[in-house]
Amino acid sequence: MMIAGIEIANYALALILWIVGILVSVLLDKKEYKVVISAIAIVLLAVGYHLLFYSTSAGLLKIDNYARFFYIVFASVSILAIIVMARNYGDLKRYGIAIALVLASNIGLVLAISTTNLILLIIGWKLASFPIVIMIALKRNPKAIEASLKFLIMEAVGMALFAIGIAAIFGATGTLDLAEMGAVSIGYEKLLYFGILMLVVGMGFEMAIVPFHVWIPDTYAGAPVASVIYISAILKALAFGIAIRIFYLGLPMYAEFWAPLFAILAIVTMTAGNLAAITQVTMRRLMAWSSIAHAGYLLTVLAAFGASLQILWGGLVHILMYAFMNTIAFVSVGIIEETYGSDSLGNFDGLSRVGGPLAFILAVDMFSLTGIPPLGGFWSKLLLVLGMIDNGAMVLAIIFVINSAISIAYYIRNVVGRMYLREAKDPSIKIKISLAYLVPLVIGFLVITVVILAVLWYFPLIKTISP
Amino acid sequence: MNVNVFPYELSITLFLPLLAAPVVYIAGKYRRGYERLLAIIVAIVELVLAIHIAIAYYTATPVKNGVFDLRIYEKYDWFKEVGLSFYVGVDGLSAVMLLLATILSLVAVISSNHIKDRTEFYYSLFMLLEASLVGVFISFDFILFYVFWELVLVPMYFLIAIWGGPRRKYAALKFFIYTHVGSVLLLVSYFYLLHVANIGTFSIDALIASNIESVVANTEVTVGPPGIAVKTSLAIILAIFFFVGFGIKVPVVPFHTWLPDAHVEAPSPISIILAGVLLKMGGYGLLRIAIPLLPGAFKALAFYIILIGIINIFYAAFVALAQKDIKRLIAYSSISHMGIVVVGSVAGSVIGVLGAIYMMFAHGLVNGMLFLLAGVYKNHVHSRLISDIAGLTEKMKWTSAFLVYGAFAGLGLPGLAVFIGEFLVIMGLFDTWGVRFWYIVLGAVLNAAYLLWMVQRVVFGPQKSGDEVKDIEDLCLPEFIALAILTILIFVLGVYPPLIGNFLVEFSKYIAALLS
Repeated sequence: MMIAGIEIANYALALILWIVGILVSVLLDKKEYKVVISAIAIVLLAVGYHLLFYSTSAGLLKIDNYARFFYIVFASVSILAIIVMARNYGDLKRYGIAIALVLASNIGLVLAISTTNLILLIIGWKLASFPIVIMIALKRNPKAIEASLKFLIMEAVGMALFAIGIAAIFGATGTLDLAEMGAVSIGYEKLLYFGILMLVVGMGFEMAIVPFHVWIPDTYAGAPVASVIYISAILKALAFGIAIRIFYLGLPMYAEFWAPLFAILAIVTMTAGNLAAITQVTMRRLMAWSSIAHAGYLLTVLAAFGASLQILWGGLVHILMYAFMNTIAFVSVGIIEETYGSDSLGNFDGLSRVGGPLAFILAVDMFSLTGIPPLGGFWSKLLLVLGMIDNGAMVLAIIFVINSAISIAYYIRNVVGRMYLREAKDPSIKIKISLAYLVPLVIGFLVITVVILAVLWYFPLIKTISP
Repeated sequence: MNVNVFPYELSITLFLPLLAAPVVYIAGKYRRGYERLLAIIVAIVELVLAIHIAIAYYTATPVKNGVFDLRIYEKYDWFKEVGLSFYVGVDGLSAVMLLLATILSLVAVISSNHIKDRTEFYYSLFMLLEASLVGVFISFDFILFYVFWELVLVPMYFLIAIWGGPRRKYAALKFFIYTHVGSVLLLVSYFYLLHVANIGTFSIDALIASNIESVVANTEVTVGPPGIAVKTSLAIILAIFFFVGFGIKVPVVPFHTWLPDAHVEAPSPISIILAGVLLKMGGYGLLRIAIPLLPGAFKALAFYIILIGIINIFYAAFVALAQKDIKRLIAYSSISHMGIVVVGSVAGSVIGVLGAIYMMFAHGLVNGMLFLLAGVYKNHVHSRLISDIAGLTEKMKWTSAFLVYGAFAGLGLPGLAVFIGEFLVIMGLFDTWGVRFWYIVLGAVLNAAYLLWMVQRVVFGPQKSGDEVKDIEDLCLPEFIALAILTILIFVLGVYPPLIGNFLVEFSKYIAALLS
């Protein structure tokens, strides 16, 4: 658009707005400006993403429907995370830093998802994740700092291995651009396979693939709730978004190599996540392992690569639904921690009587995560199963649905069962939900019950997405 | 005379309890007692609607060119790109099942007077349950069917786990997971068939009409490790998946272990719904989806399925004979009776299928009555053990009378409903399979054995008197009304089978033609 006679591209304007937002937040970082600065940040994010949505591709940036879908996910969860931060980080002396970090991370998110150039991808990706390292540690309690350190090491190692992978792939294919790579067939296959393996390992940390998932339970257990929402919903979505771009766009002809690899990883990840979650006694760790299981479900998008893109669309809807389901779960954790001091599952006993609305929303959320109709989680898993069958991955589909059934054991028995079937230890303590927590709960609830129907209604729009 | 449905009547029947659920909850929070009243009103309205729909179906002209005789239906495109449509309809089988669901829901709601704790939650869950049951029986789009099929599990879990017996949490979770695993297996199988057929819609009749089995039957699949591998057609494998998926709900014998726990631990009104309607969902699924989709495979497997049905009858009857807990005894009698349904469904003759569906209806009423009586004993005598409830005939005259009636109904006394079902199935079996399975009639003997022995111990044994029994009361009014409704229906269906049978002739002919 034209500003003061100069033609500025929409995306540039968005980024400029966000940089301005970062500066403003750093300047107005006192606690008294908390509400003002959060509101400004939300407005800037909304306006920025709006501008980006209506941008066109330019240079190394490719703003296509695929990127736009992720903009929706990033925008909505970032805004919800800021709202949660208003309470979760509310007692921070320099609150504006947290807001600035969210804005900085969003710059990276947008960069990483809107490009097909591998270097820009890694720059954007790490620009998105390193602010979160700091964000986790802002609250300065020992657990948060430990979580932040684990996250940092994970990010650093992941980045290093990913960079090695990029180098190998560049060496093998001769190009850094994914679209070009998809058209090239090469002779240095071993180097390419090595590169793919390095990419998988590098991304696997962030994507919560099973041998590389070890940081997740500890980080989710220590970090403040708003950061966990951010990591589990946005950063994971980004990791999958990038992975799908790389493998679907850049390396489709080597699918005979990486699709079975992802299939094995998917099966192991799903199963390990689901089985480990059953034995957890705190909600954060339960949700961490559930997060790993859902990453396994999303890995089937890469495992069941084939002629039909139905699996991709199912995966995208699942990423969207999962972001909101996780938000509800962790906001509930935040409320319980405020009321009782810890997130132990015992604190959820009898929640249906002491905090009826919260218990109801969380119960609906748990049923959605398991995949019970007619909630969002069911529809997204349905689309995934349809996609797997369309591409001929029958055994994977069967293992997928059986894992879904296994997940009943912890979502329903450990969480919903405790809320509705047990008595509260101290019935006199009533749950109070502050507005900052209520808004994400209600919005998440509406998404998994109503918005999913709208998503299905507008499925033709989603069908236009290809990486 | 032509009775017409008013616009959207099917949708109203489906959504009324769904919308009533939150209203009942709020009404209950507002004033105690309103939730029960409102629930009973909704149940009565549902029953009236179901009867109206059934009569309208009966007087409508038959549909000649469709797969199912859907004389009444509503079809709206829903999510066209995904292939979903809101497709509900009623044919003979659905009309009968709808009647069963609404009758038993009314009976169960009336007899829930002993539920005193968190009643607004109870009745609102019950409304959700009724909506889901109605939805299962009238949905003709597979995803819609599956949504309601799974949605039944949610209120059931809470209803068993909150208001049930001592082991209720275990029973509820086992029920949930077990039946869910079956459901997802049949989801995957149906989607595979859909993928091969490539028709772009989830409607069940569209997939059946596409004659998908001919495509799938020619695919050879090798199952098992090398050396002992078995070569079968893919159709057989899928038929087994469907049979297991639906069979878990029926339940067929290796997969029945969720039932005794769930039935026993559930509160009595919920046991009525479980035994009376939920088990029939399995039989309905087999008849509606599995057999029409893969008739050749089911015809090939018919011999084994009949054997499994017979194992159901005998195994469950023997286990029932050993029970000391009356509710467990009745639960096993349910499994035994459903064995007859399984046998009749695949026997391949018209009266066999008719008998199977009739048996489903009759068994729902009879075992509903028996579970109601078990509930009476539980609430009035505070025990389910036969030894504890024995000898109270003097104090509980009406209860004992109904129990005798119920037991005779359950063992298949001619003149009462179950006899018709049993007799038709056995006749149908002999029609197509000769006297190969002659020993099935001994099942009736075993049935009689455990029921009569139970009645003899409870009603005709040595009477108890004195202090321990002086406070025991006979039936209260709601229980009496519920039992009376069932008694009359069982009798009417025993002496005038065409009342239900007339609905089932077309459908039975269709299934028999597929399997002969």
